[in-house]
Amino acid sequence: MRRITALVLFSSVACTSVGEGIAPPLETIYFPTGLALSKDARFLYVANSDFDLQYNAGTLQSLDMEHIRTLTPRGCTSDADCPSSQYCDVPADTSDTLDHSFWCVDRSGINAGLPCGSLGERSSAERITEPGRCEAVQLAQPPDGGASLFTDAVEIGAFATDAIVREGPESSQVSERLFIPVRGEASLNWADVSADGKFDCGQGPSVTCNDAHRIGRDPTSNSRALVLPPEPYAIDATADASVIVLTHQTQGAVSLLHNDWQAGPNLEFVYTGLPPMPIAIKAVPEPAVVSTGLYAMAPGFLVAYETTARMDLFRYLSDAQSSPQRPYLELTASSPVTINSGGYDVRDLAIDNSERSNCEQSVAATDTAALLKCANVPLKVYASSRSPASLLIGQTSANAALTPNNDLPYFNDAFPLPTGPSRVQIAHIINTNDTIETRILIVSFDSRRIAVFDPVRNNIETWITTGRGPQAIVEDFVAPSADDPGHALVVVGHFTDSYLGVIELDRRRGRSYGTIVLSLGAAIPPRTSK
Amino acid sequence: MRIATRSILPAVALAVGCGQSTSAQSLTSLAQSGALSVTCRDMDTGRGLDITACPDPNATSTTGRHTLLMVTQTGRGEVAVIDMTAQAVVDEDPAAPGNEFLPVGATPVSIASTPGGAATFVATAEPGREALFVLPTSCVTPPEFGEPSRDLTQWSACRLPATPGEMVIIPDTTNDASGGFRKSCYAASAAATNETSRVDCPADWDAEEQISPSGRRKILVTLPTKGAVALLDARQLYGLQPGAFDACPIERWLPLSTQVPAGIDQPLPDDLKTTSPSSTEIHYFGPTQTAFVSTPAGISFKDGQLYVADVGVPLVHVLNWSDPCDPRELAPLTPTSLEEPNRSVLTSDVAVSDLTRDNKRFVYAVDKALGTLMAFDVSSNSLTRAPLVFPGSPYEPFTPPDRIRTNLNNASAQDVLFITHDVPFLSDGTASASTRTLCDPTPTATASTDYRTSSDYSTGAGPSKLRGIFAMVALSDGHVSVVDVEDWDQPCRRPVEGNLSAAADWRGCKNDSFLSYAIADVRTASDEASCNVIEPHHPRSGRFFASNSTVGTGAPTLSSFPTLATPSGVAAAANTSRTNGTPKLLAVPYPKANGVSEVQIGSTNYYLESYQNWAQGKPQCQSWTNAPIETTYLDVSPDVTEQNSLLLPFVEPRAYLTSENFTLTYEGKLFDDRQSGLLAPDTLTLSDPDAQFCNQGVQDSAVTRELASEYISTGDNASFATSHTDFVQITADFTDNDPYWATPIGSACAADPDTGISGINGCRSYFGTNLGNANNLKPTRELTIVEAYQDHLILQPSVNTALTQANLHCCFPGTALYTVRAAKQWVFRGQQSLSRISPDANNRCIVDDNPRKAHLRNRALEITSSDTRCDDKTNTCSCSSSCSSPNNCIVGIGPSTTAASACVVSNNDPINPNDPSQSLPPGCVFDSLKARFAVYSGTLPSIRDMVFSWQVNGGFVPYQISLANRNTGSSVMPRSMTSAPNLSAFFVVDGVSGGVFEFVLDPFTINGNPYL
Repeated sequence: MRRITALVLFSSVACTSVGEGIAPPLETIYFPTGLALSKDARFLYVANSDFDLQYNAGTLQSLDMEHIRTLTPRGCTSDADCPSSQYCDVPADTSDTLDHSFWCVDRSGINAGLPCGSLGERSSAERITEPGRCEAVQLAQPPDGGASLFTDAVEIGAFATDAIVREGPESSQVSERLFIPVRGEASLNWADVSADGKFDCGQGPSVTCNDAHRIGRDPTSNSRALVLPPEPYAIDATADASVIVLTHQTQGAVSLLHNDWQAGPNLEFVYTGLPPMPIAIKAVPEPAVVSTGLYAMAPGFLVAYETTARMDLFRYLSDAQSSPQRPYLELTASSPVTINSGGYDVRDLAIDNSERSNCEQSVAATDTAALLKCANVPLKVYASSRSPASLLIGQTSANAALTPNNDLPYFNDAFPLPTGPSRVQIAHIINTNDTIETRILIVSFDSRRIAVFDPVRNNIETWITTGRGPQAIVEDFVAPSADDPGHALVVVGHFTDSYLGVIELDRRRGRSYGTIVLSLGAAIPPRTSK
Repeated sequence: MRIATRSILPAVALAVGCGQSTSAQSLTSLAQSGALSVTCRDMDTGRGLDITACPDPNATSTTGRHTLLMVTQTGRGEVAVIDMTAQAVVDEDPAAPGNEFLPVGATPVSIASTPGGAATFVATAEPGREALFVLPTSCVTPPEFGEPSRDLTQWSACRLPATPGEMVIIPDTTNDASGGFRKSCYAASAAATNETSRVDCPADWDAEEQISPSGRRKILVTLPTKGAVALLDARQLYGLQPGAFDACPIERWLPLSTQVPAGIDQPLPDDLKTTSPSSTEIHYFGPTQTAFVSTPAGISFKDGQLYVADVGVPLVHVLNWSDPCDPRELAPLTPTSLEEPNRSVLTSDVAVSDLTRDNKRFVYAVDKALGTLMAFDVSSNSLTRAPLVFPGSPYEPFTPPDRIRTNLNNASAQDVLFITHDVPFLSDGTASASTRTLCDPTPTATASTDYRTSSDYSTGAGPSKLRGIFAMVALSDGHVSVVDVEDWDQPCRRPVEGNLSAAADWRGCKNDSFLSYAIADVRTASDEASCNVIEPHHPRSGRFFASNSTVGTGAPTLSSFPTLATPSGVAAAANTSRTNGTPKLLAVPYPKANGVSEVQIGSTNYYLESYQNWAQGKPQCQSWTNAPIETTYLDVSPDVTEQNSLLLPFVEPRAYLTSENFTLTYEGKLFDDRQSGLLAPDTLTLSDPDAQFCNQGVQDSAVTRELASEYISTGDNASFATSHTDFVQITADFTDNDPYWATPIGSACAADPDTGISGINGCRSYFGTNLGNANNLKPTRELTIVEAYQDHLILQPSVNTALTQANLHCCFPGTALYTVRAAKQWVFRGQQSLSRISPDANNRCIVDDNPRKAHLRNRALEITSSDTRCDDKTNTCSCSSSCSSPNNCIVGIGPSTTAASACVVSNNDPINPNDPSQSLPPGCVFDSLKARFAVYSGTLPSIRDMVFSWQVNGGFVPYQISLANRNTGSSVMPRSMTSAPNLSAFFVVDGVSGGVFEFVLDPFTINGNPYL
């Protein structure tokens, strides 16, 4: 992440527009910064930033996640954990000191006895910079001989910073829509995705998303004659994607966009005058009681800063009473971040809504009183801070349901982390007894670590060693059920070396738990380190 | 080696070689340090020793008895050894580059050393490979020549059935048939007889078991995922075959209770009881019953009892391990929250104190949700299992009364450690064998006087002199904070002035034996401003709570006299308030029974003139018969003085922030303008979901009426409410380029009957425009608050109801900028909310009658005159003229021109609390947590946004020491602490830098730079 920051100035003067220079290879992961999973977990979306300007654009890719899952080694503790065609590669006894994989390995065939099969194994030296036992999967030519893992790919603006996906409403023709902030041209790129993982971003016969899918550059397209401020960075949106808010890395500003599922998103408002470098944003989940229509709550967004020890709560106000209607953001509440010694340089936020959500799912959708009670369940809020490197742990207030200011969290604990924490991800693990627990994953870009924080026992359960520059992260989780054994995986994007890693978070997989078990795409060291 | 030492040599070498300056490069080796333990090692024999055998004054860097710190490295799965005697981090393999440590399993979570130094035990939590490792003290230093390097196979280790948590070593003093200590809870166990010492890493366990506390060493380790505590035999673990990794031989297994009481009594102190103080009523509540899963967290052991914090069950478990083979869970402590009675309070850490002088023992537990501390009385005669509720909480309304708020940053407690420490000495300054002696401020006392604060504050009782029992709290913001439990110097930390009364005076003193703690002009106490500088279970003051030339500004002082500014921000000219006809802010003395009233302004301590006059029964302007005792007096007569002033109450030092700015604004705003006010169509309800009107202190008609009964007693409450209810002021302006004005509705808007103008200009005409001057906004923008709720207000226009309502909706069609103001009152604002208004269950704003808010107040009423000529500012008087004349105007404009004045005087005296003939309502004196004064009206009416302002410096500063900037920069986060009584010190691990800091106790400070 430091490298990203260090090159901001460079990028702001050297950005290019699509159409000039060398086109990016669509089937190469190149400085990935955004990962998202389709609603049915069939497709993994990857936003590549073209960070070193080797090409004239970034790319957006759709990968076959189902196929990736089948390539993921199956951890085990005994043969009983493996299908009959495989055995569990474990030591025979204490005198056996071979490098066993603790994976299910084919009993016969060309890959018999080979934990990595046709991928081949990495040397010990290679594993230091690229953790994982096996060589990387070539995305276009997976080792099982199946079809390419690429479902689709298009060109977007250079310097994408993130990606989020939202499901389209039943009333629309849109299955899913991706939103990608792009710093190089100060725009929000967006693309619709079909049920079969194909992109529609107005590219037509070409592979380049058209201008209509790059929002924020045309002041005539909105009621306030606005353009998006420079360096859009973090993004989040309401669950229905009606409200999208972007932070701007070099400005004291956040931008508001309204998404229409027919017409697409449009820039509506820019809130300025904030402390410099708002860097983290997270939408506050809306209580289910709001859906009854009896209670209203304006959508909220938490914003934190790189240079100021403060947390802000913004509210979206629709301005519905006005004509013309011009939505805007209001800075509802602020609080200083004092839980750790610095408080500033918060890089990411995560909100765990599971306790409230469980409450809401346990009552009838029409039981307003019960839903109101559930709305009183506080939200758990986590923040990664670099001053000092720590995880900040907090929650919203519980003592006044639907008093929106209570959505501003107070932090009540902090946990030290290795240097350079960046992204925070709520994830889930599967225990050996099939129970599920929540974990907070904190990616430390500089330290090549992902901390697995147990919020119940209040400790770092384990550390995951990654390759260089871990940044984007997305969870791929299915709870065990009668029909499905479930799985608990996490995909991490290695920014520096441009590849993806698949991490196992299923304790039933024995020693694979908390390790990278699969690499997707060959590592490409940045040009300066070649 | 400490970091400073390590960095010097290369720096010197470079400086010599290059002939130019260079900076030292820090070399660090520790990283992600977690927990630590302390042990003692004979460097000559390699054997572990009784911890009290260290330090060795004759030791060299390689010989003698060395104190070793064993520090877990959580990220690398290692244990680092710090040699305190050699002051170096031990490199376990000097032949390899960098510092090498002792490898154990991944993710070491806890560590404990035996008191006799035989071995150190490490619990590791690598998923799937949870374990206990044994590090014999004889093998924790680098291998000798020819020996293999330290690796995992060298340690005895065993596999735990689940992830371990905290660990402690306890003695089993039970004898077996042979007369020796019982070897095992399973007498027939073959493993228990395996007690041969290892040749490679010897340990003398027989000697170990004779070290105090003598007994067979047992290990208690919590298993959070199992909700249990396991007992293992230390000596048996040591005897396990190195390199093998069999299941740990667990001797006893104690599952922790999940049975939470349905209710728990939490006795309240008198000042929080809502009935009479003599009532025995107690507060009663209980946590919500639900299915809990025990998840033990921090533990603390003393005298056979193990206290276990639990992040899964709202209990602090109390386990009796006096017989380790027969453990029993006793009645638990029940963490609760007085402020949130329905919250299940979980705890993340716990610590137990030594016995106090009166045989009290306390347990502190960390409230996981808040990071604050609870105190439990676990003395043998204690009757409650709930957290203590501390008296005096009405003077600390921002701290929960059953919590210890260790600093002002809301940092969370990461670890808690009790220390008991004394610095005994005799009157001749030599050391005394007698400990736990109280400091005695009795003026005539001859013993224990050397503990008193010296005349220059350099020795004796003071903030950094720790004599007594204290809690050290590691905080997430990088500090270690101190909590007073029993300070043996407390009697000497007080004002010189005594108060013989049983009622506390304004300094918080009561029931004193002497009127003065001084003899022959020599004080026998510290002469601090309050009797509550030291309070059990309260944060320790970081400095003398006094302001004088020696200690500086340590007690609240006014930085200067309060100033008055006009609404446009122009300060009123000094010494002209009388001729300007402007209001005055003046201190009101305390009743004489409460002692001399005084306040420090700048560097001068002022005594109130009126005290002298009252003492002599003199009217204000008559000369004194005798010269005043104090020469620097403060004139608080509104007729004479031109200086604004106020008093600062000192009952509770912790009521004051370190530095705080205050304003008192006439008809001031309760909050800054908000953009999101939405007037609902066809009604006059203003909605703003985020506004939190009640928390902002909005007073609607009902609340104002209720407060009137308190403010003006027998006055006309209804009339008072009519004129004093808060109002909304729409402050939004009209923008020319808004297309709304071109619409049919907008263009026809606000047909002003007076001007006939419509559209945007009609709106401007009817409501006025906001050009930065509040006077440009017309009264039509002001709407009285009939009912206030947390998220909306029901309003009533002050003029022309029907037309105003129509025009409001037309001219302000969407959300509009607005604020709320007080009517005909002065609004008092500091950095903390000083309002008593809270939402009720229906979110309606009501007066909060919680006793904790008794001293909160944010409105002041003006005192006016009943003399009808007092609106004539030319009717002046002065002390040199006939001040005794009843017709002179000391206070300005009165009821004849100001509707419903509540505070009216008819004579020339200032407010005199000692004069029963004065019958002003109690609300006319602003007597609150942070200020005491009265506002006297000038001869001209007060103007909206006229503002008094002042700054208070020298508030309470908690005693806390930061780990920052000691070769670690500002990025610090203490994680754990371990006591080393043999060194009169304790150690703190910084989770960020990995460094280990040594804190010494006399005086309390960090000793040197950290080990990194």
